[in-house]
Amino acid sequence: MMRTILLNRLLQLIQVMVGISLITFTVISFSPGDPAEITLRATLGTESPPKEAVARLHEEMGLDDPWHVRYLKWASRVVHGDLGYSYQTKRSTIEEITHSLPITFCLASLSILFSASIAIPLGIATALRQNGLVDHLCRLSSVIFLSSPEFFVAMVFMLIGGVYLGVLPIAGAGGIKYFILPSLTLSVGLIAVTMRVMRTSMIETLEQDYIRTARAKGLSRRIVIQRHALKNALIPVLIYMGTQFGWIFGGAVTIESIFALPGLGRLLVNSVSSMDVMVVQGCMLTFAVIIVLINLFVDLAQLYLDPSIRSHGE
Amino acid sequence: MIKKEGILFILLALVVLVAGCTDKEQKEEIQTLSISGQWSPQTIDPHLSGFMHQRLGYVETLVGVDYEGKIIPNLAKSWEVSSDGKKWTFELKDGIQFHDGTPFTAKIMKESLERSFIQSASVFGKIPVTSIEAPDNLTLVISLNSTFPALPAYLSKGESAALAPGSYDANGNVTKPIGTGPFIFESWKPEEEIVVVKNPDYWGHVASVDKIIYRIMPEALTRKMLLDSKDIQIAMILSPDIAEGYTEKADYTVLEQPIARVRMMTFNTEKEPFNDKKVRQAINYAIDRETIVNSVLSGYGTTAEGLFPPQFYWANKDIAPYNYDTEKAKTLLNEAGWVDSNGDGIRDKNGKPMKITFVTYPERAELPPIAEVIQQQLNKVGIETELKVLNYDAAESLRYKGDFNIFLVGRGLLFVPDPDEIMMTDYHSNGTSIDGLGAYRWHNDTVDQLIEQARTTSDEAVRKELYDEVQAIVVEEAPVAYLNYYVNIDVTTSNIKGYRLHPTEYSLDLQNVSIA
Repeated sequence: MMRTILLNRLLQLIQVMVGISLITFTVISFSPGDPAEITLRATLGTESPPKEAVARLHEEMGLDDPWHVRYLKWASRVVHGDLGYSYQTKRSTIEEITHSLPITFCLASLSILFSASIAIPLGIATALRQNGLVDHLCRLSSVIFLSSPEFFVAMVFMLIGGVYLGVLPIAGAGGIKYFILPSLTLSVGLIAVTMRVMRTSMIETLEQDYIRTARAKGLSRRIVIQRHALKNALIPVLIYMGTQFGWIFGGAVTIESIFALPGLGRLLVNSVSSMDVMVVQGCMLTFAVIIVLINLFVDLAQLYLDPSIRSHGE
Repeated sequence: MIKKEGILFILLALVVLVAGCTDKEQKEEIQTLSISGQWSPQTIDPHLSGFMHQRLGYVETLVGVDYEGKIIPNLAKSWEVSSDGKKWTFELKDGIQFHDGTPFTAKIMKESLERSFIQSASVFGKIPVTSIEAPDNLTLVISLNSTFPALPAYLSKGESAALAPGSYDANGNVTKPIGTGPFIFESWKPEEEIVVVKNPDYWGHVASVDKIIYRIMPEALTRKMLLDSKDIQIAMILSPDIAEGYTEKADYTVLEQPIARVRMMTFNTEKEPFNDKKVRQAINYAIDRETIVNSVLSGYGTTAEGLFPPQFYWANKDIAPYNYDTEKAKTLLNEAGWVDSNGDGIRDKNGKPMKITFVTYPERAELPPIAEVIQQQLNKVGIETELKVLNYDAAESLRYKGDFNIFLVGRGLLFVPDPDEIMMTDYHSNGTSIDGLGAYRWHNDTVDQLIEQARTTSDEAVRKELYDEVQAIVVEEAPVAYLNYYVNIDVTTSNIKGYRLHPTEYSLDLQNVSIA
């Protein structure tokens, strides 16, 4: 069972990597704008780099080849274990990614930690007391949380934590305390949804036959919820949090930019906007690996939590 | 089960977090200046991308740029050029040392320059250099194929900085830029911060602060927050709406500085109606430049009369400006034959209404609103405008096809602090006849002659006179209409003294800054 899953995921990974790199490369190749000129704008710090300079770099980047030739050149490089380098910084793609990956990892883990520790208890509480005061308050706040733009939430947290209280660093990347405000900001949106998913899932589980059986057996409500319901109700929440975790790696650009965290999302957006194609490809491959790994983790966790899947597989 | 798992997960996360993000606390009794801007140097090698390393003052170049945008001595105390203009002799200042104690000599400068010319061929490739020689310790001779009066201006670019031999590793890559400047490079974390410390043995004015932390913050709003919490003392490049909030506050100082970038409209001089000089002049009179600055730019902008802001040495300060005068505009339009013969409020000529296509792009956020204001102003003198706001590349391709009447653009003027380049690309017929962003397909023999004449001499005063004349002719002939100059806005806490914004952004000159 384990082996099939692992093998499956590995095959999936290869397909995903080929597909995603081909799509990204094509899209970038057909986007308007001259990568050479865009690169020079950044390296020389000028709006309009001299024409001769652009022509020179154009040649260095091999932009005169048709796009499929360039893709094959890139692919053969990757097969040989070389992810290339950034035209802007001249650093290797690996170096760029290993620099930003831990930062995004910290951000993602802390946000998930914050959101899980707030949303799961609240979700359970609201499921057990449907339409109670807590339920109504949570419903209202999840609507508010979900509809607040990230930069606004970020400003509020910066103002409170950094300017008025002065206890937390406002922005930058240093020790763990630099991650608190951005993670809180990010978790606000996550809490709103996780809480609702937890609530729905719990309510559904409580309506199942086996719960009724357990209750009929004479077990206390408390024991039934703890031993039987929670485990099953957590599965959809776990799947949801898994996808969220993966999403943060590429989708937390606004947060990374406002809080000046040089993470993976910012690296991707910067390299896309500067058409730094080898770094973009490197980021996309990293995402592919992360997403597949997370899926694998979620699968395994599900396997562990839900015996019915296990037996079904056998 | 779940409990155990949860605890495991939390423990795991904490271990990773603690391992991944180590905390660094520093407690020192030194004066530290924290500043923040959005630029992140792309590389640690100043010869590849030099502007940020130069602004922070740890590397220096042969020549400097003063606050009028004029070339001044720096590492070279003087220079002269042979009568044929092909041999430049720089005399270097004596007694300068690199941060590692290596004496600064012509030989090191030569090696450093040769590396620059290769590493940044994109910048220096157009210099017709044949050889660089160091006949003695303090003399550097650069020989050229042909005359190139802008040579000193190019040698003020950060990419040509003097680096000590100790800056490179065995493969010739820069590992730590060792320069000659008032600050010593200490550390750099890409996309995070650069730290420099004071150079107590600097050859010029020794810095007052001991340490500078330059923090890279891509968002202006974040820089504002950092300034509010006093985490930083200088927030660079803020937007007008953010800066406005500080003007009334006593514990902050707002600084503004027009820079060498102009917002201007280019007329399509090949097509009706702008093939007629009178119509182009009429537009110049019909535009209320003051209103544009006040309404769109919240007052942070300087109205433009000529090509360069008047603070610049190269600006012609005696240009007769086009003052806002709708009556004069109407008269000129009437003279040009554009009258409202059918009474619909729109002028016409030979049965054709005066309907013009106005193209601009949104990448510079203020351009579309400026275009809208101009559209209304032109409407007042009976001109109908069709506004096309397209992304930069699409707008540019319309321009190259000639599918426009007016093109609004933000144009950088001094890639190097010398007017030759912008004159050649934007106003000389060699430049205007091909694709570019200056005057469009416009040709003036006198202007061509004057620009060419300025290339044959290296005498600054003579060149200035020639360029002054070019600027006057361009304003009079009006192939373009200058609207206003970009303004950089920085805000500092009020205890910061001696901070000044440089019009070419050549240096931050932080050695002059003190904390009261």
